[in-house]
Amino acid sequence: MRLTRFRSDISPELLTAFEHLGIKTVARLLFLPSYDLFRRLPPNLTTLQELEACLSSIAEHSSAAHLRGRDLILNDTCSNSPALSDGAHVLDDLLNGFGHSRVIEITGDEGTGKTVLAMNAIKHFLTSDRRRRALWVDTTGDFSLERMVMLCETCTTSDLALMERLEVAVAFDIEEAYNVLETWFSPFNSKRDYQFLQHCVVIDTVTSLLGPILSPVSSQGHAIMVDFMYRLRELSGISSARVLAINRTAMERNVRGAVILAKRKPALGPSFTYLTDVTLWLSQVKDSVKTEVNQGSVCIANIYRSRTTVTGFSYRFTIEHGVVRPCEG
Amino acid sequence: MSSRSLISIGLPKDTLSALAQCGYETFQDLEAATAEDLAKELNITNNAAEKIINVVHITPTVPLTQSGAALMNTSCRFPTKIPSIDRLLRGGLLRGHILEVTGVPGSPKETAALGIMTSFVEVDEEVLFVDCQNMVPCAKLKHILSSILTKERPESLALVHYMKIHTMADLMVFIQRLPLVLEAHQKVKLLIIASVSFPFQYPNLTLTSRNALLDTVKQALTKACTFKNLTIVTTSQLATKLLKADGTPGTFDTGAKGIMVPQLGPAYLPSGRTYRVILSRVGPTSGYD
Repeated sequence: MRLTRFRSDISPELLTAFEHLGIKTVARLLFLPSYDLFRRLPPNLTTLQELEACLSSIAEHSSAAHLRGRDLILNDTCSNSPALSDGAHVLDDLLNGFGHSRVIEITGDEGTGKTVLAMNAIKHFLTSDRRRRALWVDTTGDFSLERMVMLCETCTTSDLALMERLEVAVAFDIEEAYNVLETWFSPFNSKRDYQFLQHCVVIDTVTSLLGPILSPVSSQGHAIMVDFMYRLRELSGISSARVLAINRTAMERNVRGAVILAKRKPALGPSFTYLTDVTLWLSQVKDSVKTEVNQGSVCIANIYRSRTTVTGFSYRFTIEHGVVRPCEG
Repeated sequence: MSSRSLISIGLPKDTLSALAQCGYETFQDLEAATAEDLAKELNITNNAAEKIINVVHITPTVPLTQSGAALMNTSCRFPTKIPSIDRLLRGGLLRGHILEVTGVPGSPKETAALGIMTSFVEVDEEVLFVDCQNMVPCAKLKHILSSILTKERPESLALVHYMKIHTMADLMVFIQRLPLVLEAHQKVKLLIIASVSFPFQYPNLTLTSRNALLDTVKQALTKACTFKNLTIVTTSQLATKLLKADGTPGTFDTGAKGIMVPQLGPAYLPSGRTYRVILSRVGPTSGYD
């Protein structure tokens, strides 16, 4: 951290004196004993007491903000919305974050209903409260506004009002995705809104953003992936948002690199699941006759891994004509 | 200036560690820095420092997100003037969407594209017609446009821009330059690419290269449709695909039946906003109604 970030705590003359001594970062400054530092400064610039007061003020402002447990619990209970989804518990729990998670990963093979589930979650999110806004980041060009409009035609509020609160962005690489997210989140200040969950972001799919930068010979791609996910968590925390990241699957390989047939796992490597709070694995029930998800097939959402709720818990639901419904029987 | 980390830019390892040692962690830290000071402090070249400063100070000028309502409001339909296709499209092609028309030789693929072209010209919007296989000569375009020339609309010929592309390289250059072309001709609202599959019949094109090129085309078309609200029509030939009796792909020796599929496949089109129509013959004497 540069000392120039703390201009309100240091006088300009003191800042210049520190730079002459080669001290430009907070770490170098704070780890020097204050008396040694005082001796190295030019005479008559400041007193020892003033210097110590300046150092403790920098230390306070450069450290992480504290969180009270009471406020966290308050935030948790306030952000839970009442059940809206006619009994499809997977949608209720998705919107409530399975506890209080910020970033939820939805993964599964092709055709298992990941995008449909996310669209239904956004629809319920927007209909539940007029102040809520949503952002859909399309990274493959496959987002269909018509499907979203048809889905929203089943709800009672007018389509246009709902659609005004849904924003759509296209981002084909990580740089564009960063720009979209920074621009969308920038109006929100750093104060946390404990009142209720205000925003929801869906990234469909995060695999196309992060997959191309991962490489077996360099860890830079992995560093960028970790930074991106940390930034998502940070932005969602500041602006009280929930992020749904849709991830594809890859083939499971054994120790020697050979493919284990018929076994798939979430893409982006074994560490990606630890960068999100909950990983939801979608699959279709094997004995269902219909192969297309839109024709009333039964799906299972299994909690693959979670920080905030019980792992291994499953939800059953059906998808009929793009609408998620609870499973009968 | 945001508190986005400098790791996300993807700088070389030495530069990143030099930045970290000097305490530069986020975009905010580089807000007031100049390229010369940075180069001196980090002991790197002026060019490298300038590149870092440029990345940090980029502010996107175009709006990056659009609301769903704004996208819905651009729902003007443009008919192809072929009744059966218009019925399939529920009146016509929506603005900002893509229509791919493929069919057997002799089917009215280009006629459908020209029908949409006249729909756009009738509302005084400009069209860019790209011909990849010399299927639609300039004279035919002039003939069609002169038939809709009226007293109120004397300039319909000036509304259509025509260009020919024959090779894969020319097509990719055109696709890469599409944003610049649209910027220079702001009134162009329809792009027609006739026989888009023809340049892809390049003899030494490997599957990986082909997929990469198709992906580039898809990205460019999606961005043009989303940000410039461009409507696109492409036409393509069909290719014969042979399947064995059990449905797996076969060759001419092992195949039990052949099916005709669009030559390029769906990889070059964004599936969320594309309509793909295949025209086929019912019998030797039938046409379209």
